[in-house]
Amino acid sequence: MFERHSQGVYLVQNKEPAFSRDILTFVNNKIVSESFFKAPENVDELTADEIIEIARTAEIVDERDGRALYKKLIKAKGKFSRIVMDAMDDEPYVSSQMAPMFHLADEATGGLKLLAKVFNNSETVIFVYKNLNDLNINIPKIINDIPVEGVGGRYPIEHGALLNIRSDDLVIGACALIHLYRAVTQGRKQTTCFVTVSGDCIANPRNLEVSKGMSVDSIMERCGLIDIPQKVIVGGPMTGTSVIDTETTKVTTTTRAIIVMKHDNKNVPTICIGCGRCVECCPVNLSPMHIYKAAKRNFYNHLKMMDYYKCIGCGTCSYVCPAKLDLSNTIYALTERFESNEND
Amino acid sequence: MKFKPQQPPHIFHTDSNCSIMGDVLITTVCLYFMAFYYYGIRSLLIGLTAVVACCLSQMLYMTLMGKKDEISLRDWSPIVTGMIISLMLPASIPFSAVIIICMFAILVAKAPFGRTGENLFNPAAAGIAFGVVCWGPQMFSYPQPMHSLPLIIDESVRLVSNPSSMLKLGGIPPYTFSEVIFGNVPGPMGATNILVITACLIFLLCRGTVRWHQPAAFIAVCTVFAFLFPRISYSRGQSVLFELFSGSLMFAAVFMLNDPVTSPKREIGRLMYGAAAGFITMLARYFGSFPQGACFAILLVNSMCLLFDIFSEKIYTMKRRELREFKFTFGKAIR
Repeated sequence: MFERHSQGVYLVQNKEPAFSRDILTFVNNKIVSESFFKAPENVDELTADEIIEIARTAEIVDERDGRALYKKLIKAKGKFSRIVMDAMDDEPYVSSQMAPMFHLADEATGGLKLLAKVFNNSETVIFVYKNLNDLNINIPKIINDIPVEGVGGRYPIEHGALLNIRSDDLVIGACALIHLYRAVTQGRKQTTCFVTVSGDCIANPRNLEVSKGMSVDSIMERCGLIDIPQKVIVGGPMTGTSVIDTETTKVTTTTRAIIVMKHDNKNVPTICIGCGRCVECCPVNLSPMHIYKAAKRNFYNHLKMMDYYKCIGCGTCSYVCPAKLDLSNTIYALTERFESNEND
Repeated sequence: MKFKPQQPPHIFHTDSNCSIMGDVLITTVCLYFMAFYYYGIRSLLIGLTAVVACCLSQMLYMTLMGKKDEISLRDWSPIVTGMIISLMLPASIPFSAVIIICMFAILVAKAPFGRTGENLFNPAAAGIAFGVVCWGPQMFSYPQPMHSLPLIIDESVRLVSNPSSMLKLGGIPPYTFSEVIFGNVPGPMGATNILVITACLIFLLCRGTVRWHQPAAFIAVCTVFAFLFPRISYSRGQSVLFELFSGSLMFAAVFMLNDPVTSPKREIGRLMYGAAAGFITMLARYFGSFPQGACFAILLVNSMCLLFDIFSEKIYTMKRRELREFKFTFGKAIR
C-alpha cells in the first residue's frame, strides 16, 4: 500500500477552456453524406451478432488502442461480465474522451446501453478521471442511469498499471460508443473523430469533431493561432509524437489531441546526480537510472536482471528527471532492439 | 509549417539539478547567519575561503585533464561541498587547513571518479575525515560562542572542548537543554544549532529534495543505541540528548547522509543505509579514538551503498517477476 503511493506523478491538468466548451463539428460534408448505409429498422430487437456486423460495416475503431471494435467484440464475446466506458484523459490538455462523454451524454450512454442489452444484460460503468482540482467541475454520480466511477491518482492510469480493471472487463472508449450509437440509429459510418485542440499558441482551445484525413494545418487554422508555434504534438504531451510537417500529417481515428506549444523546452540534458526520483515514480517498479546507465555502456546482463522489457513507455521517468535525461525513450528503444536480437 | 522532431515527453517537471543544489545552498546560508551571530566575521571568511578553494580546485582539475566543457560550475556542486565543509569546521581553524581540506575533498575524493554524480564517496565527509586525521588538536578545540573572534588566532583566544569530547572522557557536559538546542555550546561553526538544522531538514523534506528514510533511520538507531547503552550515569534521557545534539551528528544526518549521489535509490535500501550509518557512528563514538565519528561512518556506508542498491533491486526483481524464492547472488550482479 505504501509503495503504491509513491508511484506515478501528479500533473497539472490544463484541460480548461477546451473541456467545458461545446463540441464543434468541423467535417467534410461530402464524405459524411456519402457514408450512410441502411440502418436496422427495429433497434430494440437486435442480437449480438447483428451489432457486431453493424460495427464492422460502420468501420468503427476504438480510439483507446486503435483496434477495430468488431474484432474486440468477437474476441470478448461471452467472456466479460462488465462493460467499462473509458472516459479517462489522464494527460494534461487532453479532454477528447471526457468532453464528448459529458456533452453528448445521450449518444454515449445510448451506445453503452445497447451493448449491455445485447450481451446478456451485463453491468455497465463509466470511468472518469477525477483529479481535476484546477477545474470547477463536479462529476455527477450517475449519468442516464449508468453509475460513474471517478478514477483518481497519479499519472499513468490509462496504461492499466495503477488501475484495478478486473480481468473480465471489456473496456471501450467513449468515442467508439458514440459512433456505434450513430451507426445503429442513423446508419452512419465512422468518418469523424473527436480531437482536442489546445496549447499555448491556440486562440480558441476546443474539442472538435473532425473528419478523418484532415491535415493538422487546417485544424490549427480553424482554432486560430495567437503566436508562432515551436512545437506541434499529435497525442498527449507525455506520450505524443511531435509533428515534422503539419500539412502532410493527417488526422486518424486514434488521434486524441493536437497540442501547439510556444515554449520550446530549453531543457538541455545534463548529468545524472542519482537522486532516485525516476526509481520512485516508475509505475512498474523498474529502476530507470540503472537501466539507462547500463544501456549506455551496453551491459546486457545487467539489463536482463533489471527487467527492462517491462517498460510501458509512459514517460514518467523522463518527466521527473532533474537532469532532463532522455530515460524513457532509451529504455523503450531497448525493448525493440533486444527482442529482435533474441528472436534471430 | 515544419518543425524539428522531438522526443516525448514534451512537458517537464520544474526541478532541475540546479534547483536541488540550490535548496541545499539556501539552507546552508541560514546556518551561516547563526555562525556569524556566534563567532563574528571570521566564520564568513572561512566559508568564503572554502567555497573559493573548492571551485578553483574543481576548475584546476578539469583544466589539467583537458575536459574544458566541464569547467563551468553550472551544477553548483563544488559550492555546496565548500559550504558543508566549512560549517563542519571550528571557527578557529587556520585558513591554510581549510584550503587543504577543500583541495583534498575535490581533488582526491570527487574529481578523479569522473563527472558530478559519479563519485563513490561524499567529498565533504572525506574532506572532514582528512582534516580530523591531520589537524586533530585544532579540529577538536573550539572557541567560546558569543565572543567575536580575531582574524588571526593567537594565544589570547580561549579554546575549549566540545560536549562530545567530554562524553568521550566520561564526564557530564555542564550545559542545559536550551543551550544545546540553540547552539550556545562550543562546537563546529554550523553543526551546533539544532533548531536551525531541524528547520533545514523540514524545508528540504517539504521541497522533496531529500527523503525521510535516511535521516529517520539514522536518528532512530542513534537514539536507541544511546538509550540502551548510556555513557552518562546520570539518566538515560540526558544520554540521548547529549549523544544526539552534541557534535556534528545532526548536521551529518541532514547534509551528508542525504547526498543524492552516494545514497541508495530504493526505500528499503535507504532505510538500511541510514540504519547502518547510525550504528557505525555510535560504534565510532564509543570505541573510536575521535569524539565524533559521523563522517567516518558515512564514508564507510558510502562504500556499501552499491550493496544496498543491489539488495533492494533483487527484492524488486522478485516482486516484478512474482517469484517466491529470494536469490541474492552478489558476484553475478557486480561483475
